[in-house]
Amino acid sequence: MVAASAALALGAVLLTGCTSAEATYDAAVRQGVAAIETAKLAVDQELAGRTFTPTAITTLGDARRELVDATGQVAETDASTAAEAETRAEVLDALGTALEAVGRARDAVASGVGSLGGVVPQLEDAAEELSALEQRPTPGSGGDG
Amino acid sequence: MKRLFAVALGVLTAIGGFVDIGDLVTNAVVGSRFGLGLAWVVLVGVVGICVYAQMAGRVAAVSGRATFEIIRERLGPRAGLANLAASFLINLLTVTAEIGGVALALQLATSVDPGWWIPVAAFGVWIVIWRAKFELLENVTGMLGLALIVFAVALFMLSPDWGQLAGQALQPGPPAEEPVATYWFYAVALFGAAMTPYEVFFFSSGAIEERWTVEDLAKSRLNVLVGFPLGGLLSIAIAGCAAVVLLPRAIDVTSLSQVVLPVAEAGGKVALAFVIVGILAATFGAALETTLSSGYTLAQYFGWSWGKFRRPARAARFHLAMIIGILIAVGILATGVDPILVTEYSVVFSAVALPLTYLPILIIANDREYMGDHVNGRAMNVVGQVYLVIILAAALTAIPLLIVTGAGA
Repeated sequence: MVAASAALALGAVLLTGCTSAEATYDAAVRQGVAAIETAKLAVDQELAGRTFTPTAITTLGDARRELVDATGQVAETDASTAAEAETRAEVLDALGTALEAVGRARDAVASGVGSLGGVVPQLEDAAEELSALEQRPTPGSGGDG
Repeated sequence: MKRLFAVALGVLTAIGGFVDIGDLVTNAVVGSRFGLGLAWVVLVGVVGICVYAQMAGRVAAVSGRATFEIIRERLGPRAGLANLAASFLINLLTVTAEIGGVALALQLATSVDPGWWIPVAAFGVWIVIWRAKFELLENVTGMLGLALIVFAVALFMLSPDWGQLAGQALQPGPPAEEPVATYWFYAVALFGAAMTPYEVFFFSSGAIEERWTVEDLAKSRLNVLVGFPLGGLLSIAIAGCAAVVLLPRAIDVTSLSQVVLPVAEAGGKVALAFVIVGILAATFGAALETTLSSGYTLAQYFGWSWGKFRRPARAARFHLAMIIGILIAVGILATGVDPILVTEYSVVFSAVALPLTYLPILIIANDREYMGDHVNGRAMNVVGQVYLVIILAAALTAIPLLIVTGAGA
């Protein structure tokens, strides 16, 4: 049983070491979607007076950290084909838009810089952009894109 | 109120076991990814911990000695050392996570970086353990931790589709987009969290601190039957809130701030205030519980004088061990490691160590030399043995699942 567990573990290590660039981009997009949706919810709650300002600041800070992490993952992953390079550029662009929107929201809540209500459309746009990337068929999935 | 305080030990133990920082996040992660598809694991865990905590409490009440002390005497120093090594290391990881959890809870209330709160939290844990009486410690943290019932209230206020939630709970299994291995990884993690070894060590040592005797067996049962099911209920409520608010928005939970979003959505600032107080009390209570458990296990193995019913000068090594444990935890957190990551790993490793904890308890609960007429009945032994098989399966699959799924990523 111990030997079987060890073999399984070794296999898993080898498998996880071979994660494709596309899989990394997909994971980063999912992470970005989760972060931007978190930020949208926190901003909605702040605008509706349903949350404390320190809690909203913390939530937006955490969302921003997730976006930075996702951006780093994508930026550090090499593309080996032209299609992968194009996907990487699109993902980085969408994450950058999201990062800017969340950063503006946090500034508005924490320091009163700009209008929080004015950030909402930017958050919506960033969410739509990431969502579109998430729903796009990946190469080899049989989709027409 | 007196009756409520009578079950404070069970409530505090269960809050530490079921809604500490790791559980808060893990339950929300599970809810945001699987809905209530893993609620059955919580139920299995609640029954398991009730069975074994009841045994550990009975051993303490009948023999007047804590479980760990008897394990060493009954099974010898080698078996006791294996038990000590596994449980102590997991305890240390959990102390680290809980002190970090207190800092994260304070960040929610203040937005001040948790790095600034870590020394404050560590000092708070030390001073309470050093100065406060055991009864005060368990009553205050246990009762304030009850504020987490706001998760159950929030779930009702969110007016969910109960049929859909019931469907998720009654037809367990991973959603189409989640790998089967990930589903089982979280099943093992939830089970390991529900049956964390320190719960039984803390519960039985707490029984000695409260000077339970055979006459307190009913109190022991009441503590188990109120505390742990309550902890399980809170676990399911946290997952339910995440299933209703976060799952439809594709929010995978990675931070404590996301865990409270559904509560604020349901009940606004009042509910949010309750949940922040509850999280603070639960993580602080769990930090006390795990720090004390570290001291208990070491002192009981090495035969040192121990217990909060003694003045610190009369249990110097017990207190010194806890101070060193707190300092190590602060040192680990000072590296910048994510406390939530620490606790998620500690939960998985605790699943690995479960057989080392629960087999000796089953053996001792059947030993007439210690238990007299209060040994396990046949039904209790059958249930205990069935759980040992489940525990063994969880222990053997925990690490492979951790690796295969990339820690549930």
